[in-house]
Amino acid sequence: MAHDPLKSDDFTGPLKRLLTVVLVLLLIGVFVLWRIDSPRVERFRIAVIDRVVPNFDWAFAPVTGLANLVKDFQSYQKIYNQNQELRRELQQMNSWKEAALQLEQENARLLDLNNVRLDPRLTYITGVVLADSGSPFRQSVLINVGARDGILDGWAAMDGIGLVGRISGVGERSSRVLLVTDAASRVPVTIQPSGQTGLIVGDNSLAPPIDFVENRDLVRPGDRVVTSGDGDVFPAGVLIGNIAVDTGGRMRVRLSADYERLEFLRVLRNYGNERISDPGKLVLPEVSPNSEAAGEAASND
Amino acid sequence: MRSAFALLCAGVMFLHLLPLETRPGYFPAPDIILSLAFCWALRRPEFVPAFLVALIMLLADLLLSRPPGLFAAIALIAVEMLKSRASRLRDMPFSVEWFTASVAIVGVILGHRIVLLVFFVEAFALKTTLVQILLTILCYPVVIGFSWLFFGLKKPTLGEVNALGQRL
Repeated sequence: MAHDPLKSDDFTGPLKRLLTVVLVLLLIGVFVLWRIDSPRVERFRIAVIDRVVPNFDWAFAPVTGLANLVKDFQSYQKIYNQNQELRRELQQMNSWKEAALQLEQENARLLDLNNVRLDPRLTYITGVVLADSGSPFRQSVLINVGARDGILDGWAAMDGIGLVGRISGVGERSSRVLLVTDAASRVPVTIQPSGQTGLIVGDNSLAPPIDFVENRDLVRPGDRVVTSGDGDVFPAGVLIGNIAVDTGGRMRVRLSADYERLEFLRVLRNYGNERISDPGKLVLPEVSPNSEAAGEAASND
Repeated sequence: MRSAFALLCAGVMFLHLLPLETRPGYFPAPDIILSLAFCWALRRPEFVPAFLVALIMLLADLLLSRPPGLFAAIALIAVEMLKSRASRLRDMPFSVEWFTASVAIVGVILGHRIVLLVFFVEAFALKTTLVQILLTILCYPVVIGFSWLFFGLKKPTLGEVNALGQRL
């Protein structure tokens, strides 16, 4: 049996036991006191806390600061993750936005095709573009309307916005449209608002140059260019594009038809302009009824 | 070393008081002060005098909003019983010591609950109390390790003498 040094002295053992018992009784007494007269003991508790806890407030601060740092870090992580998710969603939304814009443009073009106000004498046939010419030097397209639909050589073709080309070659069921950009295309035009006339000479580019303008100073970039109807080549008044000046100082026409998206073409019927042959009754001097009858008799001979 | 014990308990109470988690419903904290007292009592009984234990337990009661005095009294009785068995348990393997401490923890916390029931005092839900018992038992070895690491608290080896020359 090990010699227990704590109890080696005869006095300390029983004294310690007595002390323990007294302490236990004291604590139980405190509990009973609390049970009986709770508010007083609670006040005592609050007084103790009041004395003890504020002494430690200098130590609370760094620990709570650290804990707040950790919580902030977690919330930053959450925000970062949310940010990444939102970016991904935004990318998806962007692609949807592009699709919507394209659809909107196509819609506008098709609506234009319905709304363009042309000369009511100019009826049209709508055709679908089948193929293009397949060569980088020949700018032409094939459309699916031909002789059986009444297409004649030389008629103008436009999309909903502006002039595209000219019928040059008609088959039974299809016909070829020579585009304005082709090197063999020559279109007489009027430049508004100055009213100058000119000639669009195609040169295999999307902005063909305009030649034979009488007074270049009256023409400014941005002016509208429309067909003039000279020489019965095209019907008058069809929009072609806007004037632009290239880096070399040459005047070109920025075509308003959408050459990259040629799907539906409108072929304008043009049966030729009326020719005025008589000078008109206003110009001749007034003739008396007798001389009129004599004139008629003379013309009848 | 007694002051070390007091400071350690003060540190634990300080941690309890920190406003880190104000939402309810999380795991109840294990009763570290209780397991500290038991661990020190089983290793160096002279470092946990009755008076100090009573004072610290009473302070813990007051600070942690328990009915003051009851838990302290029961814990004091338990500590005294463990102190008297310390010399016998010194040579036993660790599991026996852990088992003894667990029995003491269960006894203290359940006894506390029962007395509160008898006196018609509201207490925590039974599930919380049981979880607390379990967590306290589980953290007992952690407390031992901590005390050994930072305070050098070991069981007295054969032939060791204390400062007054008495054999431990």
